[in-house]
Amino acid sequence: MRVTNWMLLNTAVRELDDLRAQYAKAQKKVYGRSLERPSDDPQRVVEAIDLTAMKVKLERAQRAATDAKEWLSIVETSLTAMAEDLQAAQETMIQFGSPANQEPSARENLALQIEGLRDAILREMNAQHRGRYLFAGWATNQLPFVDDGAGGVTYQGSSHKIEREIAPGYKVTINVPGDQLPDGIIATLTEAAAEIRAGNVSRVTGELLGKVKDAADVLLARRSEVGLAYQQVEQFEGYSRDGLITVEERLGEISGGDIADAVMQMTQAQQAYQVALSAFAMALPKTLMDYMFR
Amino acid sequence: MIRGISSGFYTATRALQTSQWATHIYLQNIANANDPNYTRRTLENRMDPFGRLPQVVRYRDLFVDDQYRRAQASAGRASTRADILARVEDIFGDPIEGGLGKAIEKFFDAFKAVSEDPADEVLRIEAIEAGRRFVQHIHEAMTQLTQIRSQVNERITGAVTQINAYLENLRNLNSRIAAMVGSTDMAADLMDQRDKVLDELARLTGARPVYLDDGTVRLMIGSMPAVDGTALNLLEVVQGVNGPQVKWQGIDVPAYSGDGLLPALLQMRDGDLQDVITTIDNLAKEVARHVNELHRQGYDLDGNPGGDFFLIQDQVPGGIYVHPDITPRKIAAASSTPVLESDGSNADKIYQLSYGLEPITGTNPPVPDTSTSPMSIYRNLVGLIGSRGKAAIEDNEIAEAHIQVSQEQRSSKWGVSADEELALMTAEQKAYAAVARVLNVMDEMLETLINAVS
Repeated sequence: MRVTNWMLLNTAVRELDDLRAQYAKAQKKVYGRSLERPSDDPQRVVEAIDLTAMKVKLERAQRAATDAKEWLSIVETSLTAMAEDLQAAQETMIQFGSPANQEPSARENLALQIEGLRDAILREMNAQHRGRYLFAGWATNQLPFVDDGAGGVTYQGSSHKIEREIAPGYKVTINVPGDQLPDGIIATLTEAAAEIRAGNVSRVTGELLGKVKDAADVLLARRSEVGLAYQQVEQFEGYSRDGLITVEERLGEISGGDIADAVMQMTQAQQAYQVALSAFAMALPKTLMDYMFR
Repeated sequence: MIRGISSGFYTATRALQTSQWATHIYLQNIANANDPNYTRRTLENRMDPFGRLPQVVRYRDLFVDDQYRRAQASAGRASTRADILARVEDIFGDPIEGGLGKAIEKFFDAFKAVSEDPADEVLRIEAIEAGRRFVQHIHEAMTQLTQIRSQVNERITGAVTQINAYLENLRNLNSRIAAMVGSTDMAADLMDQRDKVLDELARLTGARPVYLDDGTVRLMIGSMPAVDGTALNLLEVVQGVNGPQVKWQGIDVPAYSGDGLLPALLQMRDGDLQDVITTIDNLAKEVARHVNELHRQGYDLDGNPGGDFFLIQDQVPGGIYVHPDITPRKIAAASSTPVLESDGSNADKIYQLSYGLEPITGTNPPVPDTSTSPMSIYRNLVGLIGSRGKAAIEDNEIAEAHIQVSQEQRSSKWGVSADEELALMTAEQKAYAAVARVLNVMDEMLETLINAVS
């Protein structure tokens, strides 16, 4: 094959171009910019888009989980306070059954205790968090339980559940609508206080105590639901956190990869370029003229 | 046959002239050593028995030329595709860190935030801003795509002008070459020029030459003889649906067809580019329609029925805007009236569109069809453009490699090696010296003869 001057020159230019391109590619990888355009690697770019979309959803889920945990713990605290108050009311009613507490002053004392506990329970039922009523359904800006004028309360909230999406496509309820609370307990306790004052032991320790116990069971059930929801949120928060780490790791791998490997590739490309430059610088100027016309 | 001594002088003189001519040609070859379009020449028929002059001959190989021009046509097509697709890719911005995809996600995410705290006006402002960013990305993409289309249209018009100029040039060269039979040195220069024009036309149109006996060429573009000797058919641009269309001047049949850069421009404009414009337009308008549909079913903070969130201009590609009447309080986050403070269920329904714009047929409650999710449409589009872009780059690399090989073959066949020319020049120098020596001997012979006679 004849080799012409143009072929030598063209080969040099082309090879140097290729080596420069390899060097630039390796350099981009070092800077973590190996995927700048979809055509760099369509499959990995599409995977990166999926991962980015997943990341946004997981970040949202994490914020939702944090919010859900805050709400659920406040709700649980209120329910616990109500349960404790109900427990205290039960104990007070049982105390009333004792012959030692039949004196008018003792009865008055017990009745006042019951009324105090009733008011505390009502306060919890109308508890707020960040300016929103906890047990009002979606009507979080309306006082949910108002005095009905007969010693009980009327529920003014809604029966809607507030939900948070704690994982993509998975929602958890973070509130207890007021209509799921044993709101009849307020009337029961008002009645109990009146019966204590009246000295009606059998009614207080019988029917009314039974109602209080039933209310405590309902509260316990609500607390269990809230506790379960909290556990779920924690579990899914863990999944989201782990998922987010995995997504970010994979994104890092896709867009940058192994930095040590990238640096090694760049160094190799640089050396190859320098060697080629020296080789071509030595080879190109030689022609027959260098030897014939000295 | 007994030759006279004077014929020896004649032969020697002719040999001297031929050596000088050959030396001149070798010098000319060396002078053009770095011109890839130059064809190396030599003298043939140096000592014609009938006394005809030697001929300047180009070392050209039609097979290698044909191979090179096919590669040129492929490269013209592939590089055009790669170039346009690379520009289309730019509209997606950084595929990981930003771009339209992220704007879509952020838009729906903002509605999720509103659904979780619908009374918070700051979140409502953010939802409107996220809508504006989404719209802005769509507009930017459309502006860039429209610009690319305009540039492609300009390039089509420019290419037609350039092709016509080359065709006219080819016709002129044909007529000059035909008239110059006999002046082989000049004709070689003109043929080099014509080969360069043929190379260019191959890149632009995939044209193939047919060499005729009179020294001219017939150039076929598709099934049309664009140049036939000194006859000429030119192209023209007429207005079509998507912009300029190309046809033969004064002829409707055959329709313009070919290979190379010009058909690639036409195909890209009416194919890939139009597909991307249509997909982004559909994506934008489908998102806007579905959001509007749900938004109209909801209620705003003041208990009024929701209006349109987006303003849609059906006739304008990418023509969606956040509705000018939308204010933070007018976002219809609630599903029912009277509006309850924490009712963000309608905003959540809008967020759920991010999982799929359409439900799977026959599901109750409806399960979103993830293949219709905006992100899914977006990722498929990016994947498609990326794959086509990559294929075009690879095709271009193959075509370029093919051209490199062909160029090297061309150079190997008829390129100039300064070493070779120098060696030939040296040989010619020696031949010249030898002839001069022969002349000297003949002179001595003649002198001996004359002296003997006197």
